[in-house]
Amino acid sequence: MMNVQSIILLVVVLLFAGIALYNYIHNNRRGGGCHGCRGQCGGCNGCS
Amino acid sequence: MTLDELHIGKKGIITTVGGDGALRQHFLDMGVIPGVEVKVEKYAPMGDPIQLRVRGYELTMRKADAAEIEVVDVMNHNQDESELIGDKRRMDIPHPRYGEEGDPRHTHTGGTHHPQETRHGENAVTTDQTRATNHKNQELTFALVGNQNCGKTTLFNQLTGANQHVGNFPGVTVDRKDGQIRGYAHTRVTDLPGIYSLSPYTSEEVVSRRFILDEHPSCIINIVDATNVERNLYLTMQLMELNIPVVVALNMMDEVDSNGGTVRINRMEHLLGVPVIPVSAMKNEGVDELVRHALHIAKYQEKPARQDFCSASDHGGAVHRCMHAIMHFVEDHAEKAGIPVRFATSKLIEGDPLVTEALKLTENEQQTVHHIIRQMEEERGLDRSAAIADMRFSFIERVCQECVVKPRESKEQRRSRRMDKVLTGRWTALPTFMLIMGFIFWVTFEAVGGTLQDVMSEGIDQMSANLASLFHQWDINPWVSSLILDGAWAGVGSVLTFIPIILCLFFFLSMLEDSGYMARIAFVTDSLLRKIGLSGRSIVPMLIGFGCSVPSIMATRTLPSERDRKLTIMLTPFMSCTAKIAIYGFIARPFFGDKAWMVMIGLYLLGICVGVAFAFLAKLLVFKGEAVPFVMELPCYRLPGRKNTLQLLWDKCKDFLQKAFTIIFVATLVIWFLQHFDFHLNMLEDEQVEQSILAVISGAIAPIFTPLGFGDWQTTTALFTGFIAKENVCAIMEQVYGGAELLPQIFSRVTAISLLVFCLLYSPCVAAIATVRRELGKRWALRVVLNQCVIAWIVAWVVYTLVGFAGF
Repeated sequence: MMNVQSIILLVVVLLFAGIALYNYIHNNRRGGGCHGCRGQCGGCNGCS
Repeated sequence: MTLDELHIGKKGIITTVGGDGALRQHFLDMGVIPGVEVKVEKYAPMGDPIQLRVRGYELTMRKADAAEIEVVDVMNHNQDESELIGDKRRMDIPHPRYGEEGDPRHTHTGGTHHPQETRHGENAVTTDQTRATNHKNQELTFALVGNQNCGKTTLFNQLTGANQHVGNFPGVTVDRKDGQIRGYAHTRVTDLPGIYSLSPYTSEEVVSRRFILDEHPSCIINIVDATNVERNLYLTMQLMELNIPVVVALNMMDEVDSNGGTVRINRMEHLLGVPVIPVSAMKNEGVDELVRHALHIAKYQEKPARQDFCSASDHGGAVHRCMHAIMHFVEDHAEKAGIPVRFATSKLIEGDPLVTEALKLTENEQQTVHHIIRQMEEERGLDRSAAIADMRFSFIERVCQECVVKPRESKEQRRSRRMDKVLTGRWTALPTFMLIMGFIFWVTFEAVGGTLQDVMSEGIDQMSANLASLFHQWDINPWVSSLILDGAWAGVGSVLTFIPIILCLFFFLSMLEDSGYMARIAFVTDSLLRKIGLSGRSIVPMLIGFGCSVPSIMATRTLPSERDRKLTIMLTPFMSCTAKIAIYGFIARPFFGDKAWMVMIGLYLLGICVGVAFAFLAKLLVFKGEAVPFVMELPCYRLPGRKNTLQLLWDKCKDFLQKAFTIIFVATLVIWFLQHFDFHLNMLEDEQVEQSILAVISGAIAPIFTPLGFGDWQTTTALFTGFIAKENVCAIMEQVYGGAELLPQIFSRVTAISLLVFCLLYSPCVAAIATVRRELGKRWALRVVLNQCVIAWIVAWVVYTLVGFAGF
């Protein structure tokens, strides 16, 4: 059985993962999430 | 004699410019026209290309192209440049007030107010800023246009408050960027790649031309490098022919002033018929005044007061009569095509195929135009393109004689000349380049980057131990604890330790780029690259590829031929990007200890060698023919700006952290789940891991890698996640194997080498593939993926077999 602390920790991790995934997809659509172009692609290089 | 026969240090006067097509036009646009003095500065290490000094700047071209240019030797050339400047420059005139209240163009037409002003002149006393904000629904668009490396992006950053990367070599900006002028709502300023004329030579120049002609900006802000007004004004004249409001920003005026030069702004404004504003984009001087003028002329659509630059007295007025005859003749076609008639005419005479086609002249009209041009060529003694270039430069020379007091040789130029004796010297250039690159890699992987990585690694281990003890105290459920510690933290933590190395490498790449050395590397390596079917210009994207493949692929836009672009893009994945450093470090350290940095440098060299072999094959089989000509401007060396460098490092660090805590974090969680559950979603014990979803799926694919020595499901999983982001490989290996230190118990050294080689060469990440797709299309993107996977497999197999035989 999981105690309360474990459940809270698991929820926090999964929430963080959800936000991270959303953020990653969102940023890449703007062209700012890849490793180096920093928007030089003009925001639409399709790296999402 | 031809230009290639001129000895080092000798000067000559150009008599004819041979050759044909876009390259010849490019030479003419760069100011290499009959009558111009040219000096041979030096030859590159292998005797080719040549570095020339023409119109006050350094230009490089190949000997074969120089052989098309005829010159007469100038003996004992002692003419003082100051003699060229007439007395007229000392005459001053009142400020013409273009782009301000009281603009002569409006008072001439009888009105005291602008057409858009209210009848009672109620807005006349308000400032431009308030007027601009009053027209809230009207967006004013500005295009930043200028030669390469004249400071457009620096000005763009000042205008918009953006932090776009600036560099000191021609072609840093390869695509348009938009922003709003600070403090002025409803304005949009677009930074465009640098161009030398409106006859585009490379694909990023096409971006600029297309924007100016198709998107009709409200105003063009033309940035002119004040240290080289003569060549920069060539583009200005073409922009003025477009009949769009133009404001000239004379950039780097601080440098001109500090070296005893000056520009008579009032007279230049009077001669050009457009506002001329002295600025220093780097020091943010004069930018406010520039914005005020730009807003004013954009809002009131004040077009250039002068568009006619041909003189009726120049060589009997041959070009003048030809221009005006054709202007009248094609006026209706130009109107229908929506092209300004003066611009259409000059391009028609130059033989620009795009404009010629757009005008849709009938057969009879084409013949008439052809006859008029032939007549002009006979009278002028020059061919059509040279005659138009000469007409423009003749006007520019008159402007410069009256307005420009040339600065003496600047501190930067003296310093550049001294440094170039070593850095591009015939016998010293290549050894120095090798030494510099060796030093960069040594500092990155060993001296600084490697040491800092150890410190970071210890810190992360300590944090892991603390977290484990905390979870124990809180009595956290074992599988939640495993998810966080063995899954997320192990994966993300292993990647984070590589931040110091990655930042170190980006720091040095930024130094190469910002100092002006990158352009020299292109000059020095042109002969070598020609052997594999490329030009020296391709070295710039390839070096950027050591940082990241995405900007590297984008940077190929500076290459003037599709063939060179494709081949350079195909070679980019062979240049090991910083993301792969994490994999190399992760695998090499446990096997090679202190010598790991040598293995890592060896991998970089192997990547280059395989790339060269691939290029040779590609040249023989697919990319037949010769590389494009090497024509490049060499900028002065400059000290890289601290702010620019820190900004770049911060951006890289941010990108890396963002990646670690987003996609790598999520990937580690997904892999942890697949590794700890079976298909019935039962949680597995450690010894049951072979029944996990991950083991079953990856185990089916793993035999492909058996001949390479690593045919297990764990490595296969890691390699597949590397498609998303390369750092995933080490994050996942850390997770599934339980730590890098355990690797020597699983792999032999031979297998480790084989795995490193495969990781070096196999498919680039999704972001890079998507960029290839965008630049060259789906088919080429697929070709890159397949190529790299097949080559990686073959080379890893060869290495595995050979090293195995050697009994390593």
